[in-house]
This record gives sequence, C-alpha cells and structure tokens, in this order.
Amino acid sequence: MSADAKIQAILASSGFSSKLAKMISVEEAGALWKLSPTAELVGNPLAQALHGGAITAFLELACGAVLSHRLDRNCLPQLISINVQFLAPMRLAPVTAQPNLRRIGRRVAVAHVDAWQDSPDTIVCAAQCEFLCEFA
Amino acid sequence: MADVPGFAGIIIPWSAELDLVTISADDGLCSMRLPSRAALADHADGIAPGAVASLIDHVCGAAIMSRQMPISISTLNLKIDHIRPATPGSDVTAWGHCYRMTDAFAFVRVEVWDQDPSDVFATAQAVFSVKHRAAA
Repeated sequence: MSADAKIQAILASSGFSSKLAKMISVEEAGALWKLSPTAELVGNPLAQALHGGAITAFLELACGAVLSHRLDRNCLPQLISINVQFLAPMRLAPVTAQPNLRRIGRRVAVAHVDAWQDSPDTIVCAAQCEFLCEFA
Repeated sequence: MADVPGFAGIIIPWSAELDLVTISADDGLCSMRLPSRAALADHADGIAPGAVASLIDHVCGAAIMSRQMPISISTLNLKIDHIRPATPGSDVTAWGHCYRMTDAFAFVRVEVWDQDPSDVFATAQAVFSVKHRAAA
C-alpha cells in the first residue's frame, strides 16, 4: 500500500477523523496537510474566521496520523496533551500544516506542527502534541 | 442564553454542526454538553479529542461572554490535557470558568467529564484576547 493510501486508511479509522478528512488533502507522503474548510468550520461569523476548536482538531489529526503511519499502525494514537498557539486570525480559506515528529520514545511521542494560510513564512498557528505510543 | 450554540443571537456554524447544547452560562461560569454520535467518535467510540477541543474552545468563549460581553474575542492559546479517553458512547459535559478578565485578556479553565462530574477526563487552560467597548 502506498504512503498516501495508508494515511487515508488511518483517517478513515474513526467517525470524527473521516468527517474532517473530507476537507483534507495530504501531500508528499504526509509532510504537508491541506485543509480546505467549508463554511461549517467558521467560529466567528462576523469576521468569517475559522473556529479555534476545529483548527485544533485539524492540527492534532495531522500529528496523530503521521505518527500512526510512522509506527505502521492503522488507527490514531491516544492524545495525552495538546498546546495550541494562535498567532493570527484565520480566514475561511485553505490552511496548510506541516507536522514534525520530534521524538518517538517507547511510551510517549512528541510532535510539533506549524500551519499557514498565505505563505509558509507567515505561521498562523502552531501546536505541540504528546501521544501515547501504546496503541489500543 | 437558551440552548443555541451562539452568542447574542449569532449562530456559530461549527458549534451548531456539533450540536453543542448550553446548559447554563452566567457570571463567568458556563456549562455545555456535546451529545455523542458516530460522526464525532474516535476508533473506540468515545468522543474524539478534536471534538472535545471544539467543545472546550466554545465553552471558554461562552464563559468569557457570560462574565462581560466584549466586542470581540479570539483564542491566543489553548492547552488541553487528556487524563483518559472518553467513555464509549457517552455524552460529554464541559464546565468553563473565566476566572480573570483584564482590559485585554481573559483567562479560562475548563474541566470535561462524561458520566461522573467528579471523574474528569480532560482539563484545559486558555488565554483569550478580548476587545471591550470603550467606556462611555
């Protein structure tokens, strides 16, 4: 199975990840994640800004799926902690995320992700996640 | 507030999509419920962390607005710890407390539980940037 097909299978492993996956395309074998948000992801209708919770879910999904793929698992890992920073308001427009696995230990894996809208030089949000490596 | 996932009559699309229900919101304290359904589940049928993050972000905003209605709020940072996975098939409830608000920022803590309020499965801490109306 190709890397892309494996990642698609991980995304299809739960109801919530399948729901978000309809708006996600994965490029370069999981190196780049593009969210093309529909209007349902809006969190501030006056500013037409994306919902912070939806963005958090997207960043976590990108990190978790890349970790699962690296460990050759077919479902998402258990999240222990996520810490998200919002650097700029996000418009209802595509968001690209670049997940980075910083450490994979025996029990815990640490990932970091940066995301941008217009240019990779202007990060609009970032997150650090810790996952449990022991899969159910 | 009635059980409408919005503020001051404005519907928040992503919160409406999740069917968030406001139980109470007053004086900086807000309680909201996220009903369980397959489209929000993780692979073990508990509510997915991404959906919990969306509930948390929304309950933070509602707690802030129940303390003092600002012109606008936006999430600066959000840290969520998952103590254990959510119970399969169970609705989840979040209690948010905006314990401090300054001229520019609001500070919020959240606890999330599913079957027993004393058995919290996720906690969160967030800082929001707030803009107030100019004093008359």
